[in-house]
Amino acid sequence: MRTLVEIENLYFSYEHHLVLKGISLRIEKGDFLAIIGPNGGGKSTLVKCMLGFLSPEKGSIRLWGKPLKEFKEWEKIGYVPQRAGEGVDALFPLTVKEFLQLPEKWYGKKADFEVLSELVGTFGMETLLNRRLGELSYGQLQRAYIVRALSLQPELLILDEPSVGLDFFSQDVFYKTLTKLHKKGLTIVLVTHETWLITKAVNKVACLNQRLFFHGNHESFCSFAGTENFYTDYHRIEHSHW
Amino acid sequence: MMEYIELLKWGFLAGICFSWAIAFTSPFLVLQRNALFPHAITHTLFFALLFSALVLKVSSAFFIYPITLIIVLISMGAIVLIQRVFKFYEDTATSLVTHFALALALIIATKYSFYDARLFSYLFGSFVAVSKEDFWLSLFTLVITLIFYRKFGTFWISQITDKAVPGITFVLSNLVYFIILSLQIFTGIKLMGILLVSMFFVSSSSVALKIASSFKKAIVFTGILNMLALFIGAGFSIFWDFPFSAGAAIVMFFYLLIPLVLKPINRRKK
Repeated sequence: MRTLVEIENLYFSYEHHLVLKGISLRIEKGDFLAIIGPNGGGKSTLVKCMLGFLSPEKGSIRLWGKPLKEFKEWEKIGYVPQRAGEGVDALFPLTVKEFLQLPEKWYGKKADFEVLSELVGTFGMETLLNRRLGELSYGQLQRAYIVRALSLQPELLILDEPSVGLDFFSQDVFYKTLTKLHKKGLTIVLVTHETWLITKAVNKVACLNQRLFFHGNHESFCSFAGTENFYTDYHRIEHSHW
Repeated sequence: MMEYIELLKWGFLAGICFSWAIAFTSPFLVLQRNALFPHAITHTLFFALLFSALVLKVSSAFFIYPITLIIVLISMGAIVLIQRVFKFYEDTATSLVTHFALALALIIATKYSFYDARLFSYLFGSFVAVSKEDFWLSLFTLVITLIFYRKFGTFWISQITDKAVPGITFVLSNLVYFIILSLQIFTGIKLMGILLVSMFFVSSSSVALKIASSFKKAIVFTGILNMLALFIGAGFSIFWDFPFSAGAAIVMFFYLLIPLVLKPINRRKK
């Protein structure tokens, strides 16, 4: 199995507050990994370190076997940020079509028209292509971000709490689509609070609360006895700041 | 008639270049809720202009242009430094630096020649005072804007949809954006003056963003609205004999009504 992401002994802190303590994690091709944990547990920070948005204090990250600084093939990664579309309002005149073309300009790689059309169809965006991004509902906006992340056919899709704000029905459709994409061979990393998902879609789980409490397949997670400690440890840490 | 055309032609030509150059940058200011930024930059430019003209005694716009650019770059460096060292917000740091520059400008104005005619031309702008030299600078700024918009426009847009993009750094594109913006303000000052030049960066683009169905159309509408303000403002200024900058700014203020007029028409079409 090919390793796409290799994280070794990673430490990161904001000012003097240590958020990640000695995290070591591998993401293999074909994984559908859920990174779960409480608020402030370092899930999004870990993703930001993986994508080079934050520089860790200690430790190393390798993408496709290359150290992060030497990695250049960023089109291999599709990324949907937390609170996607936060800066987009009714005034924003970019059409959905123009929005979906942004990765082509970032990475200088042309999207396959057929693949993009299929994605647009899968996510029910056909009628929205000429609409302004600012006119979309939150759920439609989320779908636009996902289609955009997939437009260059990445090998790895990273989603940072993508279903926040979606109703139950939209969430169900969304995760069914992710499962389909995973079955087609896409490696997916999903940062989420929604632990009920673990039994539904993913095949691997990482429990992160500053430290990595658990990393393994979903069957062994179900028998993992440390979940309670994992959350109470978090509350103990949080309360010590008050 | 020919005399009029001869007198105003450089003003119109420079104004057309200015109108189209800012059409490619001003929508981003509005979208990033940074509409007051050009006004802040005019403070630094005021200092740079007075420093070049009164202290260094440079009279040609061709030489003032690079000096101004250097001073603006230094002030941007100071803004970044204050943000990083003192952990201030960007707009706070901008306000501190630009007001400091304005204070220096006032000292220069007082100590050197307060009644220098150029001081008033910088403050209020003058359509007839625009020279052939100013036109070439405006044209140069338009060309520079088009070249860099082609290269970095996507990154300017992306910062509104995404805080960060894997493998992409926005530092260079932001620096280029602020340099272009400073050059545009510099070329606009001769026409509109320091006091009102920033109106061109706010009014047309905010209205265009409301009525355009795509980003490309927003740029075209902004350019057209800027040109309309240029011609109508110049007409008012000639007929009623008041500064062109005031005429153009008043016209631009009433652009606010355009979305109100267009909304019912669009609704009827639907």
